[in-house]
Amino acid sequence: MPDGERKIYNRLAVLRTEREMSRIDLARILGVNYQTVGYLERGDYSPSLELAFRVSEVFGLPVEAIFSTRPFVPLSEQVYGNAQPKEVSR
Amino acid sequence: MKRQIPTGSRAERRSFMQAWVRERRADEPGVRLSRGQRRLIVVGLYLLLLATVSALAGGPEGIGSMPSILGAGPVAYLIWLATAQITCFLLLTYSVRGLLLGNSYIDERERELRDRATARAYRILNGALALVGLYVIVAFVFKIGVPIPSTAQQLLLLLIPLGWLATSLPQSVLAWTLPDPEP
Repeated sequence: MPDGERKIYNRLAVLRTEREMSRIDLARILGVNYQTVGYLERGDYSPSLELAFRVSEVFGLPVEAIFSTRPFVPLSEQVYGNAQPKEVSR
Repeated sequence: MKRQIPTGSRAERRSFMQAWVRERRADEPGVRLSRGQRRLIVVGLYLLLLATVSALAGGPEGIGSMPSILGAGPVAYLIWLATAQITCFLLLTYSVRGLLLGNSYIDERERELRDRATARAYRILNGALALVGLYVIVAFVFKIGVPIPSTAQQLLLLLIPLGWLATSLPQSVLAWTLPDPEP
């Protein structure tokens, strides 16, 4: 990502894994190279608006559910709150 | 199921071919070889270029002083240098081949990388041309004893590296700067 560019966070890896898709599968549907999917997932590349909309169509979710300018809260935390890890007694 | 190549209009066949290449490209790496290997090839290419230019710089008189390869004469040495250079160039192109295709075959990230590398290569080439120009002016005006290209052979010696630079710089910039490919 070029210096000074705002980082775009995304949930691509989670969504892809939930749907049991490989990077190559997703790349084929999106019409991009599989290396580009890797770059997108790591946040090393911010997609164009057109590609972001294509991704949202593939997953059937609104764009803001997949991409954000702020880090996403983990899904487990969203569902169960900020629970502290319990100590397991032996 | 094997898809049939459309037999209709040229536009149909073209669009089929583009879709086929794009589909194949989805699982083909855009960048091959590790960054270290690519950098080694870039260094090799320009060292070989330097060796060729210095070998030719002696002119017909200097041919006798060229090293011989396995007992063969200076021509064999030049052929060896040219072959090694072309091999390096082909390897370099192979390592970033995915990013050198036309706009319809590469995705937006790859287009961005290619365009950035081409712009950087253009600036480097401009710098090299400015340096050559400055060298000729300084040598000609101030007559400070540095050799001035005057004969056709000497001008050709300047054009060979500039031509090679113009052809290989975008690939070299890509190969030098891109990180290791995805596993």
